[in-house]
Amino acid sequence: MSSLVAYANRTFTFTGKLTIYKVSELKNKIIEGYNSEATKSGDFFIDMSAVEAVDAAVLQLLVALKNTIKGSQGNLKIKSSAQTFDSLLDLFGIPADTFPKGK
Amino acid sequence: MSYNEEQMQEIFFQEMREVFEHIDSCILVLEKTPGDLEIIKNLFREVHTLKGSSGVFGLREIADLTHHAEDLLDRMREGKLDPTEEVFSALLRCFDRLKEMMSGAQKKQNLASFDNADIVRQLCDFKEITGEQLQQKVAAGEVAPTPSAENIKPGECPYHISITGADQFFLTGIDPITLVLNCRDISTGTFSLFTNISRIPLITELEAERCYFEFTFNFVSMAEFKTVQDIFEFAIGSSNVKIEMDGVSAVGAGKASEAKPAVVQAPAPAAAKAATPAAAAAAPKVGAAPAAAAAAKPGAVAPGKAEPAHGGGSDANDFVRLKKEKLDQLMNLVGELITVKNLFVHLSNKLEEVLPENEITKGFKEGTGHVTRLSARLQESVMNARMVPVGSVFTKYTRLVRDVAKKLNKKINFVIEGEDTELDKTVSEAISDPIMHLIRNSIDHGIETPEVRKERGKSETGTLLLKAGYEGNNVKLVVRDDGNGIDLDRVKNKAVTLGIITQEQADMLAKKDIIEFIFHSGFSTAAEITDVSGRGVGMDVVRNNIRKSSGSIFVDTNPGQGTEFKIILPLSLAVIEALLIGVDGETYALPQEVITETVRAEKKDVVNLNNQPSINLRGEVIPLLRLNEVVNLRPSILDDFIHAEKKRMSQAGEESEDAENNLQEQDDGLTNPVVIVQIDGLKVGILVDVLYWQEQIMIKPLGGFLANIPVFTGACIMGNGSVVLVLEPKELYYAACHDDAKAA
Repeated sequence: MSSLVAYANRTFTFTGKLTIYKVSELKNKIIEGYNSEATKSGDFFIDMSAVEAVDAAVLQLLVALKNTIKGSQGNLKIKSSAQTFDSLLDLFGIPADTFPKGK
Repeated sequence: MSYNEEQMQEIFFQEMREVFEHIDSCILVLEKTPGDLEIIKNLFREVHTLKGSSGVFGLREIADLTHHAEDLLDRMREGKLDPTEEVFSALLRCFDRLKEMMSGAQKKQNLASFDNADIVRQLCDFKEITGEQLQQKVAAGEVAPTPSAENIKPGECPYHISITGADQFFLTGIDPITLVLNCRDISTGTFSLFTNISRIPLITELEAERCYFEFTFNFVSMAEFKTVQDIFEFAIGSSNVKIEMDGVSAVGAGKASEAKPAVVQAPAPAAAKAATPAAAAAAPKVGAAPAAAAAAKPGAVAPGKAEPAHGGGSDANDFVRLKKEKLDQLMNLVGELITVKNLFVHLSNKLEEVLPENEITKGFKEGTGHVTRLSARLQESVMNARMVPVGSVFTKYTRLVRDVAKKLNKKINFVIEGEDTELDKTVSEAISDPIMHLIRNSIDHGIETPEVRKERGKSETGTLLLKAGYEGNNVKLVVRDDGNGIDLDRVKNKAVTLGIITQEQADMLAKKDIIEFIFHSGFSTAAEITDVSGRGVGMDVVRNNIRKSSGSIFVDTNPGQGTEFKIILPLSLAVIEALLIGVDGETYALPQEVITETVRAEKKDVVNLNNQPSINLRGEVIPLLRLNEVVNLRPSILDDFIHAEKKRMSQAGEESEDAENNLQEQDDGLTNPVVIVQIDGLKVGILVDVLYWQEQIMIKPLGGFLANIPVFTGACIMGNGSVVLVLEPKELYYAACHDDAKAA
């Protein structure tokens, strides 16, 4: 089974069903990827194009990642989104520019 | 137009005046607490009522402009607009114009002649905030949009649900997405959810299975309260859930058993209880009933504290809107009743004299007693109905203080106390202008600029207190500032410059005498005339208006510390206790409240001080008022005194001591009763022929030439049918003084 998240070139690429059952694992992988980057300042990216489902716990995790990156004068931007992720943001009334688009 | 339509319009304009008052109050409160959602909601409701009602009455121009204000408020409510001072100023400007237009509409003016382009542009030009900024505001709880009132259909109810402390949601298997979807499913109109993400920490600190989200739902639904509550049944067990439906609420925290209210009733839609024609015309809408109830209960509801129309509190149906004229008419009838009662008392006393032991006399006396008690109760009830809280007058000054302070670049903390104090509606209206003048003067001349205050070691923000309370049978109003205080030397110098007094007189004046000059017409020490004050007419108007309401004003000032104006007013003007006095065969009524005592003046007590006859009362010299001269009756009674005195003195040198003793006995026959009254803190003796008795009288306004004689406040009808003039002691005194001044 492939990993739910891969990190390369300041980009976290997510795949599959991102739910509460995987949230701890996701958290560790994300921290691992983030820590591997020598330069913390500047933007990081997420690629959600291969995501099948996202729940509230994972959304919360991504917001926590964004908070961390913002703390180092950067931002977390969406390289490529997924309908399921956009729908969740919309459903929760979270503004779209919380995760601005960027490459 | 039919009579009913005219009536409807009249009610509409009256209601709109109240709506405008409430809108102003809300904006001013909101300016101080910009994040107060309850105030924003109340304001929105009022504005919506204004728009809807204006539309129904064909005032399209008013409805159109109101729409722009409503739109701006909507953006503010949704957090898309920062509630800045500029925004509030634009809103106030807009509502000022709307008031003008409403007044124009009442006068049948063409509303199209109002050019509102500038106002509309100003309202529309405010830049919206979006995205993260908005989220931050949501996170801070500063915004939580509610469904637009106009989108609510009959039968729907607005729900407001908040969830906090949801930390255990994920661990207990509660999926917030499911909660949201379930609510969205039962929603039949606008649905909004704001999710607070501000509690989410850095990823390194995140407990991944702990839920940091907080949610605020707003939606409308046909669903019953219980159905909505069921959606949150499990959430209630593991978080703080507050479900509100237009006045009904359920709060759950910790255990599910605690969560459900004992009785939850699904109320009828809000619009069903719209209390007034205009409110009903504007329905269906959210909160129409609370707004209407607030309007119907004068001054009883503070902005943002409107009582819900359902689930407790006063119902809009508890209030009846009455024209003031109807209350006046009722009061007049009570007055007539009191007159008739007095007649019965008079007849009863006569009967007792003529037929002392007669059964009919006893029965009549008993019946008269009943009538007396009932009329007293009726009078009390009607007087109560006329009483309004002074807060209804006070609230409008908040706007005045804001505008004047802004204009003069001053910082002012305006404090209102005792707004529940009740006063007769007529008196309450009469004091409106005097208080306005006092407030303007306090801001303009009293409270210093922030820079000056800082230099003087004071807080940059001055305090202006407006306080009401009871003092015996009177109402006491206080306007106090912590500013400059009155510069007494300047007042004195100005009085000398104006030629009112000489420098020598000025040097001998006491503090209270110097303060008295500020009430002279045309007297102002202001270096420059502003449109706020400084024309020297304000304080003159203040005292005149207060006197017209049978009130008094007292001033205390301390240089550098501030000034206090104290106004004492009677609770009611309509029915009063009066002492009936006789002068030259005429009977007059003198209000009891100003009388401190009655004495008999003997010639040895009468002295002449600076051409002013005075009486020595237990060592206190009190000026004597020649009532018959003031009211232009036949030659003064006092002249009899003086004549007798002169006669006695001239004879004293020529005749023997025995003769003088004889004269003394004769002179004793000339002693007259003196009524001691207290006017503006000063005691004055009013010399009369006869003291009759005390009686409750109903003052009727005078017509014809008598209406222009200020010493008569009105007339009353006595039990025997005779008409008695009611004296206004203050005017009497000042008229006498004025005449003296002229003579001098």
